[in-house]
Amino acid sequence: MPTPKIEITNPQAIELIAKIKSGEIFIPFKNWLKKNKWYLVSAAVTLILIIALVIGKKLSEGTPIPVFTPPDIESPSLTPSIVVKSSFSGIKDEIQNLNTDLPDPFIPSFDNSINLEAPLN
Amino acid sequence: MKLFSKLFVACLLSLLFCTTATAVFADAQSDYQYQYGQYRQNYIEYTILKKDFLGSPTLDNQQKAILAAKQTIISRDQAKASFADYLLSLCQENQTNYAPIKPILDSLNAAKIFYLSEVNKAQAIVTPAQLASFTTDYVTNTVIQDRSFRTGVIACKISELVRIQIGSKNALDVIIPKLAVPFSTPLQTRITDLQSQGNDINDAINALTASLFSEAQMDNIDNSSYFSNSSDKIKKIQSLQLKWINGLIDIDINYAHS
Repeated sequence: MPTPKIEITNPQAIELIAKIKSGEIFIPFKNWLKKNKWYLVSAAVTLILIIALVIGKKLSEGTPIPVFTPPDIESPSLTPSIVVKSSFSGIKDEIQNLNTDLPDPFIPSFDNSINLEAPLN
Repeated sequence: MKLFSKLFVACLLSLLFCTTATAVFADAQSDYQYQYGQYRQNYIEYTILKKDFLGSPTLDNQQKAILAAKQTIISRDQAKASFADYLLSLCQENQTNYAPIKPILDSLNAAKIFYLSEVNKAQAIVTPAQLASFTTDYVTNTVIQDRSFRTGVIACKISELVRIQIGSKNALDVIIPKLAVPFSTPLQTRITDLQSQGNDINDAINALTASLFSEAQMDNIDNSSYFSNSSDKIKKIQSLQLKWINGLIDIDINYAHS
């Protein structure tokens, strides 16, 4: 089966193809690249850093943090002291619990003058 | 049927016995609290009825007021008698048989008898003249009896101090045979010091008791400073007793347990 041959007859298309072939169409793009070269470089570096940080974070999350414990140091332990309680502590408690405030018990007040006379003003 | 009725009577009797026993074993403190509560109730009623009588002196109001006054007098003297009894029980529960406070205990007993006799006397009050006469005599005669409460309160504290002294002396007597003989010089010194300090405390208690009967203290009995003087002395004795028992406990732990 013969392949159909395409012939371009549109003058605008022919002009565009000619520009592509000669590289004329890329000149404004090359100029823009030259003009903004440093911006592009810094953007690329930032992007690389962000990607590196994201990868590092993912890796650290996947790996458990190692716990460093100090080596055992021999320390002096307290010897348990035996508390000797005296059998006379009860007397001490009795003395401490003695209420020294007087009067104890409180002496109640009574009216000794019960009568039907009018009180003196 | 007869068996059931017998059982019922037996239960009733035992219930009655339990109630009576509870009443008999009620202590002096609760008896005093009850009597004092009665007095306070009667006193409020008496003041209201007296006010009514003074505002409107009718024969009816007079009778009501006299009756209320009579009831108040009876409950007052019963409350005083039970308070004297309460103080006596407080002093005697220590079981010290400390002879120097015996006159104070006797005066409390005398006061109790006096108040109970006044209760009987008050039963005869019917007229305003009898009430006035009763109260006039009472105000004169009750002064000495009322003072027995003030000395009685201190006597109870003294008997507590004496009981502690007796307990402390017994403790020393118990500990000495437990100590290794012959005593070391420091231990001997400490024991001698304890014996000497114990005698000093006994002297301080005797001096406190004697001061209650001194003329200066008797003149001061109705003043508010009466108790503060004795309270200061009791505090000093208490601190001496505490120091003494700390010394004994120290010997017990360091010598008797080793």
